[in-house]
Amino acid sequence: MIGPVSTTVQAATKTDAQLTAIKKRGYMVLGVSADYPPYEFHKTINGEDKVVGFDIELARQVAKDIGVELRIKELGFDSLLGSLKTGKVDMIVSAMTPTPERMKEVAFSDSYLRVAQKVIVRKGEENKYRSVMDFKGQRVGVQKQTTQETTAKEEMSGAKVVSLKKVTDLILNLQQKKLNAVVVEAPVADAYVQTNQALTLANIKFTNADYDCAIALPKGSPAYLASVNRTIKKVKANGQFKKWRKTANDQMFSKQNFWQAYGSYFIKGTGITIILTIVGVLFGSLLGTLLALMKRAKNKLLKAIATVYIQYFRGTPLLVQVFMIYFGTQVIHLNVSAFVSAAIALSLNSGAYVFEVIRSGIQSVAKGQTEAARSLGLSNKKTMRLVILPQAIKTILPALGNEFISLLKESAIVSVIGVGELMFQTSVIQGSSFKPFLPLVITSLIYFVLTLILSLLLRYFEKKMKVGKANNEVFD
Amino acid sequence: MFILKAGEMMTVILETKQLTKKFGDNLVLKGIDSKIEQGQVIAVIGPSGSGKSTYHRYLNLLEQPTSGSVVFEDQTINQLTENELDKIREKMGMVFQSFNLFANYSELENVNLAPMNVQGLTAEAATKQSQALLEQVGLADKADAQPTSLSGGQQQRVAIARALAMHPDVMLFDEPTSALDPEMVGEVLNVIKNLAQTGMTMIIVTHEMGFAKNVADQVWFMDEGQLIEKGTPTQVFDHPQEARTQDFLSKVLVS
Repeated sequence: MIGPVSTTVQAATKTDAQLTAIKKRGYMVLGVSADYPPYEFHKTINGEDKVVGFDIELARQVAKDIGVELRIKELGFDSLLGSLKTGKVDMIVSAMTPTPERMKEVAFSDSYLRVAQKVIVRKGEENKYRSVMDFKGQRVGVQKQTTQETTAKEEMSGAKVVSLKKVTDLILNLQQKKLNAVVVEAPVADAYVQTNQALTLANIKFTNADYDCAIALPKGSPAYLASVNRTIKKVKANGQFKKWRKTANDQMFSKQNFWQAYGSYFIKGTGITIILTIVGVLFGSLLGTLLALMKRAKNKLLKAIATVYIQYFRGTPLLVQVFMIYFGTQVIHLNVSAFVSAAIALSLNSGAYVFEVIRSGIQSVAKGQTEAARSLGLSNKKTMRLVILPQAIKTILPALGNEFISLLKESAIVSVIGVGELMFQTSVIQGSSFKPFLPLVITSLIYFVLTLILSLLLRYFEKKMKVGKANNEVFD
Repeated sequence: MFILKAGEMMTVILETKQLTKKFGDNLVLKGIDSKIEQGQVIAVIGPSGSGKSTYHRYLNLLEQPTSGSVVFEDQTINQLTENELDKIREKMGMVFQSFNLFANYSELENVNLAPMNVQGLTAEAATKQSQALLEQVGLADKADAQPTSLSGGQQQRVAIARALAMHPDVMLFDEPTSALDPEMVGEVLNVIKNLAQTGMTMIIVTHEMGFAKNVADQVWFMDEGQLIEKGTPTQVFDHPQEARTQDFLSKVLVS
């Protein structure tokens, strides 16, 4: 819930302990969770990764007015308040709303931004919607678990509210006429409309949906608070704040070369995807070999375990397995990172398929080879090691290559638990570039090129092994 | 050691008792009693599907019979563990219709493999022995060749050398020339013939009637999973007693 904003004019105390300490230091530390454009977000400017946004500009001005340098400390949104209370940062400017709960912990400045909810529609349809009642029977998109979701459900009576995870997905659906309207908060809505000619805002007023953004400061620093409030008042009055918002919007959709801005994201994601795949195939191969041995074992329990394992991992979706590992480890109080969970899930899954590869490789060796070896007195094990496996490997290796390719593609699934591989980075880029489609195209090309290279390598090796393959055919 | 029974000139080296095999409802072998004496060369003949190859495969228990037993050198071998059976198989060389040379090894390595890995010979000792054997089958010059580069006849001769490398007491030949082009049959049969003259005990399943007549001490005729008639080549080929033998021979010998 949104609470009232502290509008009390502070007594004009000259200074306080906090302010004195800042001035003495010569710099102040801003705490920010830089993942919320246009408030605060990362941007590559002249090849340098920077945190930008109107919150940042505001913080810079606050520091300037106090007469010190600004240093930025990036944190998760959840750890911002704790950092302020423990003195790790001097203020928070991070699209933070002064709720009663937060006001118990820290002090808040005057509101620098009153955030309304806005409705984006396709251009030309804005006149169809004049009040919240006009959305009856219309499909209205909102971001899951947000104020907008509550607002749409409570105020747009009769509307079919569709909750999606990401704003980019909402916009994409709106453009493709799968949604008729999207409710988002004003700065975000303005940013989209500003850069997207096909979209516009409907003139809709909600009754109970506005909230404020304010700067959080440590409690008991009246002079410091007064200084901050003066800055806010000033930048709002002289139009500077509006300019910053415009700049931030522009930066969000900058004309900057897309690849220059997001290339590093793609490269990082591709790297993690490749690492995940290699780990998956490597451990999957070990596991698959182990399973193949278990399946051939005389021990019935081992055999049964292998059978159940293979059936389970081949018979359930990888997506489910990924969630099972990620949350399952949590349930048994193991703190396993998303990356490790993903690597485990891919390895376990791949193991079941590699087993199948090994099994069919062994079966591809003519039965006569086994018979000849056994008739000479070679034991089962020696027959396997000296005669069957060296031949089976010629079938196994190319098939293992195919498993590599399919694992590379399937690894995209682990983005659901927040592993920073290619698919995850793609959605990050979709979010911060406000381009829902282009990143997908690039990502699909990256996957395509990766698998193409792998296929070509495979074909090369298969050709080299063809001589060996012909050997087998004689005995079929 | 064998125990010589009174009145027997020769030692029985291999024996089957009521050997029976069922595939589902299909009775492939109908209780075969047979005895092979040391030094004997036995040719097993009969129409396709008569069970002669199946019978042959049970002699070293590459597969387990449904019932009945196999006795080798006075030991009932179908009660043995796999490890013990491996020891028995060393003493029974086997040559297959489709050669079954190890595709991942050269000719020499094919012959070396079992002596080195089963009997523990050094590579040097094994190679020396293998080269002598390859010479015996007329292929000493091709020791490093891969199986695929050899003709069928050459492959089969290597397979014979490979089996001999374990110094078996018995050699089992399963239609050794059936997969060969006609012009290669002779070279393989010559090798087998020479082997017969060394006193090796051999059981040869074959379609080569002329060869059976010339080389075998005994000819066995099988049909429908039964051993119908046994005798010297002269007895079986020239004076067959059973109607089925006569029928079979009239078909194969006329053409």
